[in-house]
Amino acid sequence: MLKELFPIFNHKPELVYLDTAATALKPTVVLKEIFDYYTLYSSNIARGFYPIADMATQKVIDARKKVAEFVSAKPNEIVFTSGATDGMNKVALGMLGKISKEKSDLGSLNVVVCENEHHSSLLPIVAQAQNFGVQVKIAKEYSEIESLIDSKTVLVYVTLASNVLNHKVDVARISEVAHKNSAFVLVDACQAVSHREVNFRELGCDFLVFSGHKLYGPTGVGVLVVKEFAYSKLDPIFFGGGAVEDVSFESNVKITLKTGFEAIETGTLPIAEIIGMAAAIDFVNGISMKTISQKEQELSAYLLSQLKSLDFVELLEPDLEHAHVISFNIKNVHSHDVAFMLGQKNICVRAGQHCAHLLHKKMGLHGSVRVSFGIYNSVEDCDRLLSELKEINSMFNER
Amino acid sequence: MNPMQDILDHYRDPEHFGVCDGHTHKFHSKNVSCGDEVTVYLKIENQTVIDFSFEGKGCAISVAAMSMLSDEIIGMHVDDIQKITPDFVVELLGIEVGPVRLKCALIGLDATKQAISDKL
Repeated sequence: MLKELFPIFNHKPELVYLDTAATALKPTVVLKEIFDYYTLYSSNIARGFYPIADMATQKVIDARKKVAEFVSAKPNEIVFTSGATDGMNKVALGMLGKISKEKSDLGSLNVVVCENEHHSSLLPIVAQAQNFGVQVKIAKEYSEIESLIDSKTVLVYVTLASNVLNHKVDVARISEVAHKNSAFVLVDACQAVSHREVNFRELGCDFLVFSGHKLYGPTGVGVLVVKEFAYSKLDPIFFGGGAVEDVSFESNVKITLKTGFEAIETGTLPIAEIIGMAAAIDFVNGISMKTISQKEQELSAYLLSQLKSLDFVELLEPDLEHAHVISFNIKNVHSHDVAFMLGQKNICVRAGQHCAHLLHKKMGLHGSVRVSFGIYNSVEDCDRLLSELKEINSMFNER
Repeated sequence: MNPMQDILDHYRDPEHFGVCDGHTHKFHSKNVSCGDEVTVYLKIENQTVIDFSFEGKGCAISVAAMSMLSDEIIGMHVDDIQKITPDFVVELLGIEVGPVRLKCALIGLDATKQAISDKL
């Protein structure tokens, strides 16, 4: 029983947690690794000449290798960030900042995004493009992305898995088209990384981001994967300790930065969180991504079939057979009310627009209720949800 | 009465819903994160609200809070309305409201305060 591996269920055995797309619960092994760091070898990394500092440093080196293997990248392609949003901003500002120094015709250049995206992904790119005077081409659907890429495109952003819907996006194909046009591709893998295998090489993209906390790891840590040669396209946006090779103030200020991930990782890293994220990857690998995917598919297939049989439920994607997120509404009931009422029964779902205002606007919805699965969920969880949905419908629509 | 049932009753059949005649103040507010919208209408004479109404769409908490508040607001001095606290609204609702839902509960009160301060 996987619930036993998550201490929150010891404290709240009645909890039905169906909001993994927002953040995953944390298993004991992850919490123990974090606790061990703080209690057994708490120290800074890469600068201490004593055993506990060596131990912490080695743990972070190992974590980098582990993360790299997890997404089929190389260790020196892994940049630790504070989360996916941080990674997105580092690419958007770093890349467009660099281009602005090299080119004068910024107004003729463009970035390509899809309006279905999460704000964390969409806004850094759109806002920085506006700041630098670069055109923004917005695809209405993922299928339009390819056709918007041209020789003036510098960056294409695409998500691997939406946080609201279940689009299938052919990232490898988009990468191919983008590269033919000398454009770079940034992929958000936040909603994919805990549900299925993510292979940086096969995707063919240049940058990929995800957060540790959606992968059963702690908050405050994430990963930016950068294809080795693409580092040269990123201007560091933060300066500070750890990233500097040499500084000279003699005749004028001269800052020589390190290269690769070291130029981007300034200041003290979130060491405990990185170690915790590595433990989460071990945890996921221990169960196997194949098992996780299969179990979540079975659960989602079950829940979808049950939801389809309820005439008061309006699924946003009624044709799906299985899904990593299931978004729906109860007829005539605000999504916030549904989530609030479920919350009163210790059932956790997300409601609202899920940081995807443009998508909801396009669908003509004020919001939606979203169910997302983790490895701790069961058929019993689905049944409790279904039972409460019937009760909510009765309360709002029948009494 | 069960507070939740009371909330649902106000939600289904809110008090003072619509546009009151001769309103002197009006404010439209929108919570973009959930799509809730409310427009409040106040008729103010001698710094006192003599009529009040609202219209819009929203969740049960936001509509019920506005409905419950409307009876309280009518007859109040505008200075006293500006002093209404979030806790007062939560007490009217009679249920625990977390920080996220508090935004829903307060959308109408905030709009009312804004209507008064905009015009005066």
